Formats: sequence, structure tokens, C-alpha cells
Amino acid sequence: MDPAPEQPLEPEPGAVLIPAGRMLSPEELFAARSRDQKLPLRSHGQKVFLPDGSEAQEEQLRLCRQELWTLLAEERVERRGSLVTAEWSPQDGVVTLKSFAGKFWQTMGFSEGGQQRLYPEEALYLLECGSIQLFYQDLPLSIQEAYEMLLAQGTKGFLKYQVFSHLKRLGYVVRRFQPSLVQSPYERQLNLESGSIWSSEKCHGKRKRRHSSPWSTDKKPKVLENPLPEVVGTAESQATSSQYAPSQNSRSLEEKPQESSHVEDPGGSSWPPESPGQVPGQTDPHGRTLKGRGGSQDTATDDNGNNSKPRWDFEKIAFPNMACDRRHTLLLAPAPELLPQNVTAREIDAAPWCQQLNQRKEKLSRREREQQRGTTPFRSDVNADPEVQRCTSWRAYKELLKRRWQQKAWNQPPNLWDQPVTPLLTPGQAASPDLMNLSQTCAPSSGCPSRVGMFP
Amino acid sequence: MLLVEVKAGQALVWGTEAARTLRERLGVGGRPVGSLARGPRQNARLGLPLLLLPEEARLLAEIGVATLVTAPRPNPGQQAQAVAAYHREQESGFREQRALASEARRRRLKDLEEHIAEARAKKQRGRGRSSKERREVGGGAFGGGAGSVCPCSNFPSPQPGPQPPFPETAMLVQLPTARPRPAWARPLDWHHPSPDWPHAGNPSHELRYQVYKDLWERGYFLTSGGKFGGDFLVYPGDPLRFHAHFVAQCCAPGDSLPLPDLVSAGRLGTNVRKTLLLCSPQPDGSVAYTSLQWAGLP
Repeated sequence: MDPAPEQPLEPEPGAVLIPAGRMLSPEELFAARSRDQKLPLRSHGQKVFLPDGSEAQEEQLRLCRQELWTLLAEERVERRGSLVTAEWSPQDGVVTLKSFAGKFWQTMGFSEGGQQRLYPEEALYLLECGSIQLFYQDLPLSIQEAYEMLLAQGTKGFLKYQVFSHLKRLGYVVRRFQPSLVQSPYERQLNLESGSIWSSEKCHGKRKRRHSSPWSTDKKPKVLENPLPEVVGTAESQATSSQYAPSQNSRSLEEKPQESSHVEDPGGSSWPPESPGQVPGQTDPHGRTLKGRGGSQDTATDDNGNNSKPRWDFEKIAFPNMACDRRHTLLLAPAPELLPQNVTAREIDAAPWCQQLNQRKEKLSRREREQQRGTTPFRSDVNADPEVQRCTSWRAYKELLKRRWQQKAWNQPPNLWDQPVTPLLTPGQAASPDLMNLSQTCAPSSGCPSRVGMFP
Repeated sequence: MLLVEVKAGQALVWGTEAARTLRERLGVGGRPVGSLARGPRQNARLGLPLLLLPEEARLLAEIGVATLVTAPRPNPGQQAQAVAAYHREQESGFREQRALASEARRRRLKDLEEHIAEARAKKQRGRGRSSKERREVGGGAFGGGAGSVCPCSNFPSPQPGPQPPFPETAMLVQLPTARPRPAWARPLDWHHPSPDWPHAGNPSHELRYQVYKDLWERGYFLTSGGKFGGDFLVYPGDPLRFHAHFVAQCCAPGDSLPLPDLVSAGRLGTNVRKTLLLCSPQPDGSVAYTSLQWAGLP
């Protein structure tokens, strides 16, 4: 640096000259190649509770402080070949890379118009790490100047950058929050993302937000699964309100912008886009929010320009119910300004189509019928019996069983049923003729079937 | 006179010397919030800039030790001059570095001259012996000897031969932390609120400032108390070596203090073995303190 800097004229009275920061001489730069890279531990022994003015404490404090100043005073020195050149453009609010990106390109930055770009917070973080050299109007920016220029949103920008850099230093991959990149539960159900490039980890492209400043979105680390509760920016799904049930009776020609969401139906159905059902005779306009309308229009143009997939909240979009219970078959023509260029649509009465559908009742198997009914017919629950419910213990239950059996089988001798089974014959005794007599000694009682095991 | 640049209510100190003066002579610590140059990818130790609390910045301005200034606007007239100066400086720096590199290389060669000579002598001796012996003995020794001086064998002779060129990509460049060129800035009037200093007139700021000033004048070292749920942490000396004694909580004199809040603040303080200090600036300028300590703990 020029040792005698030219003092510019005072632009205004009372202005104060801020001196330049420390610039290293070539010798110091050269000597910085071989400086210590290790981070010393913070403590020189345990902290103490009371200061007692002793020499030992003073010495410890001096050592700690010296170490702190040494660390803080070190300047960043890098080889020019390992620095990526980057240029800050305040109009776009992004940093453009002028030479090829290094390893950080895998997780940071985006491509736009054939150029590699970085968001301001990413560029600032990389500058602090010593990976890039940031230029503005052909002069390299120091970290202080970069803080002032890139975090131009005041306290909010500064705090956001602190959060961002903290998470990056911990090792996370931190990207700007985009509501469109978060899958809705319905999409997850459909498994909509299984084949698309957007779900790939290697995707670098990001949607450029032409209509909002770079700091308007929230950040979301990639490790978190659940989206942040507040969704900043235009969310197309929120444009369609829940009042959109088919039983409503409004012909909403003035609400056509809301239907832009249906233009790019991923199913690619041949039906014309949905419009609320019309029961003849009632034309109640509903008040919709203007904000939603403007928002969805913006995103419609944005999407068409960028070939990106819309993310719709299918739980809020109401499709006409054409089933047999509440048939709504007259579908109105959509507004032509909502459709893409080559597509024309007309009004359709779907009644003849519905008649051609298979209207026969489905024949269910017994198991399916049972499933639908929710019960199994032959099984009865023991606990449903009120007498059983009145039993308070297992002993009481056993007594209840005994009582019931006695009532049922009062004329059957208990000795035949309650005792363990004792066969008259064992396998070893099979061949003796005395056994024939044995079998005749027990006279079959009236209720007992004559059942004697006889072996040949 | 120290200069503290203020932007959007944040007062940042970018120079190590200034930070040192503040901490060692004035007992105003600040908190480093930037990446450390030596290890930018860790959170244990952070580096410049130093973030000062609004109360700290105001105290420095009040006692006249520092001037609060707003960020300077760039001067377009100086742009071309600055660019030319930068390029000149880069070129001269590059030439000097190249000279330094060749000098360093020469010195290294000289230091290793003896090793080179030794290796050469060994080589000669090895060739002089019979091939059989070389294979038996020299196989190991030769390999070891050759291995230890292997880099030297690639060196040119001790006379300075053609040195490999020092490419531009090997040039070392500094990424400066603070502003590399002096700039003019307007002093900030911290008595009145402005976009850069929204704290003036803010009743909570005034409250905390009175407490901060009073404690600072008594010799304590104060830092931000967000860690333990208070407004300030009060240290008897430098936080590098001492534990905090109090967690200071500022309350306005007329405000009611709900009992659950009191209990929770007390418990927080107790759990970390610090006394809770309730501070209330009185209308006459002094500050009334009430300390809470759990009686049951030793």
C-alpha cells in the first residue's frame, strides 16, 4: 500500500478520517506461509472466582489476553491461484464468479444465464473463509467493506448473516428457503418427486426471484425435514381459498387468475380446467383476496418462463365432484387468458360421459364386506356380556362359569366332565381279554354317549 | 481517539489495537462475531469484527474515549486513483515476493549444501566398490542413504543455475479485514434517534444504560446476559479469567414484577451459581440493587 496515502479533500466539515486498516508488507506476506495453523485452547487453567491481585492471576490474564490479540490480529493470506475471483453487483444483489468455482460449488451458489452466481451471504461467508476474492468496481473488497455493502438490509441482514455463518461453520448446508421446494403431504403421498431432477441432491439450479430482493426469504437448513411455518413469498396454493367447494354456486369470471393453478395440472387431463360448479340461477361473486390473485399471476408467468414444476396444495383445491352422489356435470369454459398458447378449451356437459361409466355395483367378497362393516359376524366379545363385566376378579369369573355350566348341564354327572381324562386302556394293555369285561362295567348313562376305546 | 463505526444500530470494531485498548484499559469487552482468520470453519473462537452492545458504545461516546461514526460513503472521484494505486502495489508486491522466493530458495540450497556434498561423495564411493558388494551392502545403505537425500539429488549444482519461475498464481495476497484505504465519515449524533442509531430515546435502552454505567463505574466488567436469561453478566474482572458473580436484570422502578418471573429468574441464576441482581435506576440518578440468592446452597 502506498505509504503516504493521498488525503482526499474533506467532503464536509466535521467529517472524521477513518484510518486504513493494517496492510501486510511483502515480507510479512511471505512469512505468513509458515505461521502456526493450530488453534490454541482457550483456557490457561481453570477460571477463578475472586480476583485477589496476585502475580499468578495477573500472569495468567496476560497470557490469555496476549493469545487473544495474536489470534485477532492475524490477517488472511492466501495464494492467488487458490482464490476464485468474484464480482459484486448491487443492482442484481448477487455475486458473479469470474473464474471457476472451487469445491464450495457443490453446496452453494446457483447458475443463471450461463454464469455462476452466489448469494450475498454465501459470498461473504466464503470471503471470510478465504476462498474467494470479491471485487467491486475493479477493487478488491475488504471484509469490513463487504459487510457494509452486502448486508445492506440493516440489522435484519446482519442478524440473518450471523445465523447463516454460524450454521455454516457448524458444517451444515444452508440454503434459502423456497416454499416450492418443500413437498406437500399430498405430493409425498403420490410420490410425485421420485423421478424428477428436483429431488436430486446434485441439483444446482435455483429459481431466480425476479420480483423480490435477495433477502426476502427465510433460510432453512437442508437437514430439517419440516418446512418453516411461515411461508414467505408467493405460494400458489394459498391463492385458492377453501371456499372453493363445488357445492358453491358462483360463476366467478372475475376470479379466473386463481385458476392459473389448474392450468399446469400434472395429470395432464383432457378435462378443461376446473371452474366452480354452476347451479343455474345463482351468481354470487365471492370476495377473494387481491393479494392471492396478484401473487398467482406472478408465479404463473414465472413458472412458464422457467419450466419449473408448480407445487399445489391439493387439499385446498377443490375438484368438481362427478360421482353419482352429488353429480356436478356442467363444466364451464375457462378464461382464455389463462391457458397456454396452443390449448383451446370449451364448455362441456359431462352427463353423457358419466352415463357411459360402469355403474354396476361392485360385488365384494365376504372378507371385503366384513371389512367395510367393521365387524366379524361370528365372533362375540366375552367382555360384552354384562354379567362378565360385573365380575371383579378372576375367581368371581370362574364361579360365574361354574354357575352357568351347572344350569346348562344340571343333569350331567360332573365326575365325567371335570376330571382329567383317564383312558381305560393304555397302549400296553391292549391285548388282554379281561378288558372286554372292563368295558361293560361302566354302564352308559342316559346323557353320555357310549364311548369306549376298543382296540382290536 | 478511537473510532467506532455504527450501522443500523450495530456498533462494530474492526481493529485489533482498538479492541485491545477497550478491553485492557477501559474494561469494555465486546463480543467477536466474525470468522477467525486462522480457523474460519469453527465456532469455538470467533474473530473480528467485535460487536459492542449499544450501552457499551454509548458509554464510550459519553466519556469521550471514542467517536461514533456512520459508515462512510464511497467517493467516486477517488475510484480511478485507487484502482491505479492497487495495481501498482500488486505489481511491486509481486516483484518483491519473487525476489524473496528466490532468496529463500538460495538460502535453503546453501543450508543443504553439506548434505548434497555428502550424498555426492557417497555416490562416488559406492561406484568405486565392486558391484557385488554394492548389491549386498549398498542395497540397504544405498537405498537408505539415497532415500534421505533423494530430494537433493534433484537439486542443481551449488552454483545458482536457472531457477524455476515464480508464477503469478503463487503470489500471496492479503484479504484485508479492515478498510484498506482511509475514508471520511460523518460522526453520529447518538442523542437523537436515526436509522443508524435507533436506540436513542428508547426507554428500555435508557434503563439498561443507566444500570450499565453504574456497574461499570463500580469497576465491574459487563457482558451480554443472554446466555443466562438476564440483561448483563457482571464479572469482577476480565471474563477470560474470572467467573461471573451476578446476572443483572433491569427493571423499571414502577413496573410490577410477577412472582413466577422472579422465581424463574432466581432459579436460573441458582443453577449456574450466580446471584440474581435486580437493578432499578431511581429518578435521582442512583441505581437500587436487590440481590437474590438461594439460601439452601452452600
